[in-house]
Amino acid sequence: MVFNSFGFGLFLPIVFILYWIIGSSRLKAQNLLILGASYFFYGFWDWRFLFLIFTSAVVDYGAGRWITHARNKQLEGQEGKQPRQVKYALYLSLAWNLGVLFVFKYYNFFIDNFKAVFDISDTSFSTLDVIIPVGLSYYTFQTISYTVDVYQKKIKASDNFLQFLCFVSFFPQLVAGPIERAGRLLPQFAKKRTFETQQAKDGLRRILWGLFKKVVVADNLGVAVTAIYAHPGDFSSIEILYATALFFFQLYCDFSGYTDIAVGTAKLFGFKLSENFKLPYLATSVSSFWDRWHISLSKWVRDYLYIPIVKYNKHSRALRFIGLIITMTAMGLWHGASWTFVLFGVTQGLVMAVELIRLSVHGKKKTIRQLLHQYPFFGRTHLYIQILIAMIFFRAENIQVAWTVIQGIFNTAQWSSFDWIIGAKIGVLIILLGAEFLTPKKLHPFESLEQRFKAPVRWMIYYVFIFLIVRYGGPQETFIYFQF
Amino acid sequence: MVKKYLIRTVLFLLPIVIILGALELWVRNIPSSPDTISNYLHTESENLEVLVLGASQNQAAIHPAFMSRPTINMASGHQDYSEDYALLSQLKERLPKLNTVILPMTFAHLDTPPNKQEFWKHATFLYYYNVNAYGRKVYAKDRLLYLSNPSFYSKEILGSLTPMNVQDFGTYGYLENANHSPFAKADFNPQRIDEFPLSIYNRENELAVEQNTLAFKKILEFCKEQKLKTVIVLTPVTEKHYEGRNPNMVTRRDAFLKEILELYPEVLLKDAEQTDYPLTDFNNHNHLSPLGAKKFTKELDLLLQSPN
Repeated sequence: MVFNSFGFGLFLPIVFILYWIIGSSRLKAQNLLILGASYFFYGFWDWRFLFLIFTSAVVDYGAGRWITHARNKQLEGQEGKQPRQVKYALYLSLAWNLGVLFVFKYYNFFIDNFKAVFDISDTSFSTLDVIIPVGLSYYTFQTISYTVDVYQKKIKASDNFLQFLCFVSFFPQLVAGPIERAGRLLPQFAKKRTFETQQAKDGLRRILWGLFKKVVVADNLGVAVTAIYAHPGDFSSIEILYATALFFFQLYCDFSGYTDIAVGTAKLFGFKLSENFKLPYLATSVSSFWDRWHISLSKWVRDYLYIPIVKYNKHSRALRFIGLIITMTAMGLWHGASWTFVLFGVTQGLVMAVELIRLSVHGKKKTIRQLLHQYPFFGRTHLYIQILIAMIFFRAENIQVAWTVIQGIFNTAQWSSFDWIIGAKIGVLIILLGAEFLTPKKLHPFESLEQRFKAPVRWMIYYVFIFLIVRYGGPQETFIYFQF
Repeated sequence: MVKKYLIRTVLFLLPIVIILGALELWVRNIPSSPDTISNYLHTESENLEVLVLGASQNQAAIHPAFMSRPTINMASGHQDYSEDYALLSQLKERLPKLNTVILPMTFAHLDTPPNKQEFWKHATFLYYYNVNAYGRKVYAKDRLLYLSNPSFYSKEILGSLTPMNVQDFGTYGYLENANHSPFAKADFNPQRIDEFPLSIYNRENELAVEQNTLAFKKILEFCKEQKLKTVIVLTPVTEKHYEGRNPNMVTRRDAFLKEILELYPEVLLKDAEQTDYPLTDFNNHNHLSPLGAKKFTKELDLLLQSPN
């Protein structure tokens, strides 16, 4: 089930009403309802993968309990030293989660490349006929972080299996994040949730804004992008750059629109999810871009990959460079098993490493990132060029297509093939950017409406946006980030 | 508190639900080609012998009224071979007397990319013909015409407000009145028509060719299995259109046709692409007018009546 589907429009009010009929005094019953609703939501897509998500939860819950049990049994004389079983539990969790990811997402890519490199035509190395379970990369990262945090004593292991199952499968953020940390989300399943009208109203407004971004902006920009990317050789350099820039906004609206709906939906049930976007196009460098784009993933790779790499020698610049490139390559691969994503990650890592270089300006040493922040015009110009390059790799189905697009940027085709109906799609982007520029400090543009306008005006504004969603919405019922 | 919130939310949403419901009813009541075809299919299913499939060229070229055997024309704009196959295979059981299938093959047919699963006709075919043309899961939205394509149906609703736009689809779903066609608007004046930019699909697409040839062969296999007579028609086009065709696409299409006729010798070919039809027989360069359709349908009928 997806957020912009008719089914979800029926599912959400039913679960909402049942949830609050149960009431905040019956926490266990509310959690059971959340679990049932989440499994229904996920199983609606493909019920067979419920087994996988349940097993992941069992393994990580078990690993957490094992760690606690091993520590409790620790002899007094060995205080401060991790018992061996603690490591075994961590390895078990990592092996399961990374193993599942590898089998479903990376095995075929690995086999194909292995065969290509060693020129093997032997059919014994065959690829698997499997589909990637929706949301796999999100919930496995969430459960890995849980076990690692328990191992590092940042949080206590959960002793409530029902709450843990809810944490792993909470439907608003199950299939495309935000990737929540156990320390933040898990306690919310343990405490009483009371209904707050203001929060619920804001939840609905956030859902409306998210739907507008996804259905009106992203899907409409997608039409223009697809038209140009389907035959990049037919279009001029300006048109290809235009499509690539539009793709960035399509991706932004698709994914941040999903996050808005997820955060808004969670609010209806009294939960607070992490923010995943902070006007990323206003960043002044690639490094600061990643502080504003898919924040929950950026923080995840920073905490569980980059920091463990660089912590052995905090002063080694070389290690930081290498760490960045490894981290960003992994981030690229997280998006999909394809060389285009590898190149996407590597280029981002390289640029971020370069931004760490210190230059002496007026006698003061500053990193390039700091200088770009100081001179935002240059910073943003630099960022937009990097985004355009990154988006080519992100959008292209394979390296050949990416290469054709790059060649297209330098070709001299005339504008004649350009369809102005496609060009006019940019109109929806103006509404989006206008609203976001006017409310830069708000989590979403509708947030400030209550202070500014009375109810009839607010309702009119909501009706206009609902009209736009219904009238101009595309036929698609999918989100780009589901595939990751 | 929750109750008050729910009441306010319901009050807020109520006008939207009412308006959408009204729009849905409105759309369902606008006279349309699929609606008429659906009624005809429903009442005549026991007697129908000839099924016409294909895209807009076949839709415009074959008028069931001029066929000597009960015929239904289910061709529609941008209908691809996979959709044709879905219609044929899913309707076959409902048409016990069906013995002939008419398929199109314009020069651009093979190179035109097949429609995607989200194509708006999913809802149209489901609602009017009870055919799942894309073999995909049916969403609740697919059951609603207006929401399946608000952009298209909003224009239909606006169009239906003007009595002049109300179109006559007769008994067979064939558009009888072509006064609004580009050629009619130019009074069929050759000079004025010659000034029209030639809109012709000349983009080669190997992937599409691969997909379309496979789908086409699938239809022929089905027809062979079900012992259905198959006729491939190359509908008439104007001289200007004929000359403007991409020669690579023409050569590839002709080679494929040759291969098909060798593989399936029972298949008939009606090649009328190059004709001496006057301009009054056309709506535009590659679509016949009702006048042209009458002529072409009669020719086709003669072919079907011939012993082979």
